[in-house]
Parts: sequence; structure tokens; C-alpha cells
Amino acid sequence: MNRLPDLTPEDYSIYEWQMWVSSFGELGQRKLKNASVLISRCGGVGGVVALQLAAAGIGNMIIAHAGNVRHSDLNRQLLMTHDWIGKPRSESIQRRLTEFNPRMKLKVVDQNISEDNAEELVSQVDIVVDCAPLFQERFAMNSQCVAQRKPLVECAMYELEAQITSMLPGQTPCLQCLYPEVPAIWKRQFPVFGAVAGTIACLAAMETIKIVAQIGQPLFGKLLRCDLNSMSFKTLQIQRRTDCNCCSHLY
Amino acid sequence: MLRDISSGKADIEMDIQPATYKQAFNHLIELYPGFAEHFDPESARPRSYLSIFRNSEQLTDFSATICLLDLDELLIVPALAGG
Repeated sequence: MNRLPDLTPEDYSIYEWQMWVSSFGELGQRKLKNASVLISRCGGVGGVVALQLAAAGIGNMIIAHAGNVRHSDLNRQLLMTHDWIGKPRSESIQRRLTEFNPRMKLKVVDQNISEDNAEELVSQVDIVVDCAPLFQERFAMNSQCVAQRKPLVECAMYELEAQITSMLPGQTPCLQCLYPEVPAIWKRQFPVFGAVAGTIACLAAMETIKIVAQIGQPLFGKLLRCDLNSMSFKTLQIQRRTDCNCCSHLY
Repeated sequence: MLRDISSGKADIEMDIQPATYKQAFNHLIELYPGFAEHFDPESARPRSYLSIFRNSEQLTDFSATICLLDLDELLIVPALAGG
């Protein structure tokens, strides 16, 4: 196992308040500094995941997000700015996150996740956070997380509903246990408030911190359903599919 | 995302005897026929993009003999990917 990096005096001054969390402490901060995360798409959900993990002091981050900034991004995608409309989202992400945390090693890839690049990108990190708006991307990432035995924080939203689970290949259901095929019901454009996306994103960032620092009880094998209409939150037990095309060979 | 089918209702109370999953399914389709396309009509098994939970436990057995108890809750959870 790699030796964990030491914290600098600047690290201590920035992260002091979260190191007061007794289960986390200095060891948790060093684990976070040592860790690498891949965030797939940096929109309403992924942008807030990236901001929160950058704020918390994760050491290494890769973000995959293609395309140029559009007006319709700006109601929720907090790393995109008005002055960057028509220019690459990857540049806006790089600029905003670097302003926020220049200590973090950041790589922004001007591509969305696909079967062509998932293996390479997943191989470079310890953990993946899935915030993609298409199941084809989510399945490509899930498949590589299973193949490489990497944990996957899976979060999504629609209108005022949101859900999150954490997956650990070989121990929990994978995404294709939950949805064996690309869901025909899902459409690329969906109703979204930035605050709903941001709510589930903060939970995803916390899941990532817990898994990396090995604290608390991550949502392994559990799906947290959030209904922001009624502010009701339910934790549901999800089942592994014994005939899963993706992960059944691990059992 | 299925609330358009249920006229915006998030919760539907049912008083059914005998209380089985299949009875609950039949009653749901009677009340809101729009749900029918999301299930296999014979087996009442949901399409692959839906999960059904009985209270907090995911149902994987949809046979007609699955009994429900008073105050049991069935939750229909659709696949989401909004990011």
C-alpha cells in the first residue's frame, strides 16, 4: 500500500474544521489527499460533486464532459459561467475548479464516457462518481468498475425526485442488476432544478468521502430515494441479480 | 416520473381482499390504466426499468401467491439518469 501523503501547514489550516469530525480526523484527510476520483459529466449533479470534493481536499480528480457551454446549462451547472457560452465546458470546469482549489491535481477530458474510453479513465482512479444523463454512459462506466473492481457512487435525479446508491463489485448489486437493459422510458432531456441536482450531488460527495476515508456506513446495497416534493427519504434494500450480464461472474 | 399516470398522486391507498401483489397490481391498473404498459399483463412483473419494493425490500418474486399485510407499502421506482 502506498504511504499516505503528509499534510502541509496550508492543508491543516484549510481542512482543520473537517478534521474535527472524530471518525475522520487527520488520517481521513490524508486518505482523501491520496485518493483519485473520476466524475462522469460535470453538469447539475457532477459539478456540485466536483466542487464539494475539491473543497474537501481530494488529491486527484478526473472529469469527463464534452461539448460547449449553453444557456440551458446555467440553471444548474455551477461550474459553467455566462462568459463561457459557446466555448468548451472542459475549459470552464478547469478554470473554476482551479480557482477554487489550486492544490488538487485536475484533469478535464473533453469527452463523455463511452465504451471506447471508460477502461482507460477508470483505470486511473480509485473511485468513480456517475452523474451521466444517458444510460449508455452509465453502463459503460459500471461495466469497467465491475471489471476493475472499483467502487461506484451512482446518483441520479428527475424533476423533484433523486436517488443514490454505492456499488462495490463482488459485494453489492451493480447498475445492471438494477436495470438489466438501457431503460426505454428514459429521455435525454429531463425536468431539473439545480437545487435538486445539488442535493443529490452533496450526498454523492459525502458517500465518496466516506468510502475513501473508510468512515460511516456507505449506501452499499441500499438505494436512498429522495422525494423533494414531500421531503420524504426512504432507504431501500436492493438485490443482486443472479443472472446479471455484468457482474454475476464475480459470485 | 410516473406521476403523470396517477394524476400527480404520489401515494395511492388500496383496500383489497385478499391482499396479494397480483390483486394490488390489478387494482392499480383499474384505477390508472396508464400503468399497464409498464408491466407484463399476465405475470404483473414490471418492465426492466422499474423496481418494486415491498416496504423497504426489493421484490423479485411476482408470483400470484405473494401476500401483502395490512399497511404494507408497495413502491414503484423507475430508472433515473438525470445528472
